[in-house]
Amino acid sequence: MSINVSLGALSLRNPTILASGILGTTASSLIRVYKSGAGAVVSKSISINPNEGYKTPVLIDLGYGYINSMGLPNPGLDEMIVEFKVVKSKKVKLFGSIFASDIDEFKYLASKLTDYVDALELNLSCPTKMGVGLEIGKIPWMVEETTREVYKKSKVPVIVKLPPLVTLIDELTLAAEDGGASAVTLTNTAKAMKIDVFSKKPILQGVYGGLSGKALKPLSLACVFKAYEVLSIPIIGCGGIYSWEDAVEYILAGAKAIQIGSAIVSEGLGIFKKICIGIKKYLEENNIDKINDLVGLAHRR
Amino acid sequence: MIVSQKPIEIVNILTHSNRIKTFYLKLKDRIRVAPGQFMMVWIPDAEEIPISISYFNGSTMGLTIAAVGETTRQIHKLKIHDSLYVRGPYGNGFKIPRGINKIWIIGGGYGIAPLLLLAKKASSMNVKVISFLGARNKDELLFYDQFKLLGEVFASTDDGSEGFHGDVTTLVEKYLSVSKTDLMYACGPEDMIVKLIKLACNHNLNLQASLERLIKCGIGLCGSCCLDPLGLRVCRDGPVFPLKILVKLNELGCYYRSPSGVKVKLSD
Ligand SMILES: Cc1cc2nc3c(=O)[nH]c(=O)nc-3n(C[C@H](O)[C@H](O)[C@H](O)COP(=O)(O)OP(=O)(O)OC[C@H]3O[C@@H](n4cnc5c(N)ncnc54)[C@H](O)[C@@H]3O)c2cc1C
Ligand SMILES: Cc1cc2nc3c(=O)[nH]c(=O)nc-3n(C[C@H](O)[C@H](O)[C@H](O)COP(=O)(O)O)c2cc1C
Ligand code: FES
Repeated sequence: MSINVSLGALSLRNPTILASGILGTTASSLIRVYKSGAGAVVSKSISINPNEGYKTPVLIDLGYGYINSMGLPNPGLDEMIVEFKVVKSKKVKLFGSIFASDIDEFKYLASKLTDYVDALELNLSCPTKMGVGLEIGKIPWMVEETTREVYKKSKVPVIVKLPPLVTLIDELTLAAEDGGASAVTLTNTAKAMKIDVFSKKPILQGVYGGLSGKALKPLSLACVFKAYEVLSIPIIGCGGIYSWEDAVEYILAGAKAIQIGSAIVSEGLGIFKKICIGIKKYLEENNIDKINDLVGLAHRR
Repeated sequence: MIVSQKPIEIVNILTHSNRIKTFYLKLKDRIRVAPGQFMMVWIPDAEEIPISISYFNGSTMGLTIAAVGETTRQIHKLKIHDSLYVRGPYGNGFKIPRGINKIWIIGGGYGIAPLLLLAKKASSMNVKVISFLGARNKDELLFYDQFKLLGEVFASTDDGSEGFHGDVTTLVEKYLSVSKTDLMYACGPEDMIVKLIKLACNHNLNLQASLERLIKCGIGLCGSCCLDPLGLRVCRDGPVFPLKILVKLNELGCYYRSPSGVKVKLSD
């Protein structure tokens, strides 16, 4: 029984992928996660220049999920290329995530990074930083245009990562497909916040953060299910995946691969292997040969 | 575990020097604490920072804080009955292996504080404790009298106001010519830790040391505290690491990463 998957031209040893922004800033960390069993790793979202992100507190643990307002901290393009060269020297399947405030910056990042990664992931969905991300990712024509321009500059497959806007997700994913995306990642975090009742102020310095973890799963799952009905390119599911059951749910909804972030806190880095073992067993018990035959089965009614 | 930022009343404040204070908090939640673990500490309109636990008796927690910058100076303005917001405890603390009879505890600056909890635990397990404490001056030899109650103490100060006039690692090195130990525990400035790793290797001694890097999330997600070349996280895999890991951390004493992740050289 094999659990390797292909996302268009990309083939992965298994369907579990490290989500962007989770332990993804240094080469040694990305290599460690890949060695612990992930089928691929996505880097932290990169900008042209170094970005410090927001001041702490940047994380709230709700108990049923997390709200983060990291603010896309990253050491910038040049430093990240140095790290990526190390990652690639270890034969790691690496997706480079990028964010920018306009199309020219996106084009520049794509043209500079395309030689060092196996795929590019466009972060069009960060809810914490104004002027980048979500401002593009909620408007279909902007998604299409950004994707198309990056696609033209890229020698590797382009994956578009979108926000969990269930009511808009079919239009947004179709726009990405029309722009030349090889796959979509559904979804990023949902815009969220928390107020401290004692000081009567929002806790996060950036006021809004992104909701991830268990609380996000039903939303992201609905996005995957809905997008599967209109798309022909593969979907990567992401949001609140903690177990093989969660992963299989996403696959049944229409995802070919899945990304894992928040669950690393409670499940540890062993989660990638654990989910792979669970999926394998599930396929065996259901007499299904390969993951592909499981994708979207929940749509048969 | 206190999961989310929660205000806890300050019931007592101990002023060690004009730079260092210990804040005692009365907890309502039942939590477990291992020596060497840390809390994320916050007050509104300031940053959230990692602080090691220096005292814990099941309901009262002590946090010893050196005023070194913006946030720590703001915290120092707090009075009894004000609150500190905390979450935690986080990280892996010091471990006392079975069969250990005698340990050395080596602390530098505010790094002395979390070692008190360790000294108390070791003592309660009938392990013999010898402490080496180094500070700027006599006042900053934190909990000096309490360490003395738990075993022999050797002190060093930068200004010579108490004990040996000089470096705590020199003190340890001197003592090595007359005695040996099963295990050394260390917390303090990075150059002190680096020297102790070398000493441990040269004298065939074992060591556990607590490290510092930039902590943002505190729970092992964001990657800001990752150490090269193994990708270990100070907040989750540490802050305390054993010698067999410490010797592999080639960034120690050389560089750390800024809030953006850019490498910053440690100059000495
Ligand atoms: C696991 C861990 C445990 C710690 N335990 C204690 C403790 O028990 N008592 C104590 O007084 N301090 C402790 N610290 C250090 C403490 O977190 C920093 O001194 C504090 O964050 C400084 O905040 P600031 O805004 O006042 O200073 P800033 O203005 O931010 O900086 C002042 C100085 O502190 C350094 N610094 C800033 N942030 C950090 C950080 N996150 N980690 C390390 N150095 C930093 C800066 O490089 C600078 O030199 C610990 C740090 C770590 C990582
Ligand atoms: C601390 C943190 C940082 C993140 N940083 C990024 C980022 O830089 N780029 C991005 O596209 N997504 C980022 N995300 C979103 C995740 O990649 C993922 O889409 C989201 O957390 C949902 O998955 P999860 O529930 O498994 O965590 C971040 C999430 C967290 C919790
Ligand atoms: S501070 Fe975020 S991983 Fe350690």
